[in-house]
Amino acid sequence: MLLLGGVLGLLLARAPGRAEPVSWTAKERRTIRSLSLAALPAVPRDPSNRFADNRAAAKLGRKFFFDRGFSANGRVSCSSCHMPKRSSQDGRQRGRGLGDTPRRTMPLAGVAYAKWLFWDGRRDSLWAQALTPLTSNVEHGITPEFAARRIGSHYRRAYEQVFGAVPRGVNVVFANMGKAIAAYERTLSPVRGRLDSFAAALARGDSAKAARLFSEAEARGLKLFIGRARCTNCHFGPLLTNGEFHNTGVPQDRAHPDRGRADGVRLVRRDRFNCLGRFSDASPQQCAALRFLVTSGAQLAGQFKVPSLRGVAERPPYMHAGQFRTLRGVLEHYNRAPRARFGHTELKPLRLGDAQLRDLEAFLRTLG
Amino acid sequence: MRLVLCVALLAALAGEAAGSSTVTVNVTSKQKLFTATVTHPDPLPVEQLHVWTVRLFDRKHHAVTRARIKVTGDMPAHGHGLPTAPVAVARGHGVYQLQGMMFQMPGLWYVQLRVRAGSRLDTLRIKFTIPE
Repeated sequence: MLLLGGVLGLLLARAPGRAEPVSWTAKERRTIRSLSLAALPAVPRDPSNRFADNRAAAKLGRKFFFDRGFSANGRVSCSSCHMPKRSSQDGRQRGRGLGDTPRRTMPLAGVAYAKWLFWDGRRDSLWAQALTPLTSNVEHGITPEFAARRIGSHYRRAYEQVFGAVPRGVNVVFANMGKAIAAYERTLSPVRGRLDSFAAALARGDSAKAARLFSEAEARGLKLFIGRARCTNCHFGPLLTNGEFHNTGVPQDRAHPDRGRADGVRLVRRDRFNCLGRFSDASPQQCAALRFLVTSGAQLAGQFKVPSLRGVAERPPYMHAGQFRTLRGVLEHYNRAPRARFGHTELKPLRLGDAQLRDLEAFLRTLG
Repeated sequence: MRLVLCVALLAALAGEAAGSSTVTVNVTSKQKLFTATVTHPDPLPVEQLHVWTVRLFDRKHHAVTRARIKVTGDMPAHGHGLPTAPVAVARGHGVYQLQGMMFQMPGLWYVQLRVRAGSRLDTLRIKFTIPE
């Protein structure tokens, strides 16, 4: 009878559709803890912006952020693409201001932690980034003079309370506008999600709560994410990104490929608002990212910044030009690892099966 | 005693963050023109600028001063190098600080030090794995 029960148990355990509950090794538990927002350090200082943590500057920056008056047609603000109700992005394949931009709008939660800004890292601070769309012909389409005039006529008092008297030099006013917007954007924090609750339950040893938070498919997906699928090679830490640049061989226009980081390094060096420029508040020694910048090499071709995966399910389409409409499309790309159409892909085929891709997708959907 | 002091000095030079522990490895160059003791933080951080210290010797174990060192890195599984361009700064007595070291991914890495001292040119290679 005992023997029969044992055989029956074995058969049931192996019956199709009945998966083993997911168990975690000590190393996996450590990795999961490292992905939680509980492990996120304090927002790093920005020595190039002495107003970065000034509350009055942040308040003024918020007004600038939503003001459509800072555009050539009076209809474009930062929030036109960085929509607060859509995780500060626009859901479009490519951002649209006065015209069409060549790349996807990036979300802003946790942007204070970014060392490089834009998909190609062509800016080295949040304030230098904030200025760039203002003067782009396809985004806000204005000049520093236009911005300084509007600040003088509409924001003089608030500006002077933070920065002192409005100076004659329009570029100083323009740079301060960027610094105020950056002070506001630094307050946009990532939102705690199910992964954070799951990591906390696992750390407490509360497996019942952990099991309620993640289905078995989601837990299997997480196991793949930190294991065989090698996602945490680049998507690590509480923001699920290393903040660096990689070529993952995503589809590119063969005739006019986007050179990505290869152009970004050139542009950040010559940006007059960079950390070493005269509008920066940093000493040259504090501009380590520029000092040790890789300026050449084949590896830069077609590299793009690794985005945070927090909130990833809420913001299709994916990649720098919205090449993939679905998470499944992204996962299939990583699984196949096709040759890059520009530069050299760093991916190797994962050889995951359909069920594993579904589990991975289930996990990614827990990220919001 | 001298060895202990030497390791302590190198450890102090290599660790940028106070209280961090370090490890020292001995390396011989490809053509055996140079040997070096290389000290770096242990564990190696990911996505953090840090400093390595190299003490460079010739075949007779004399300190090599005034060498020019070019630092490159390679992650063979992914076909990319370091995310930074580190700079070697001479500190005298054959000691060089490699400033601006950074790794963007865990996994197997090679760091190459291309050393030119007078007419001598050779490459030191250090292989290591950064655990996930």
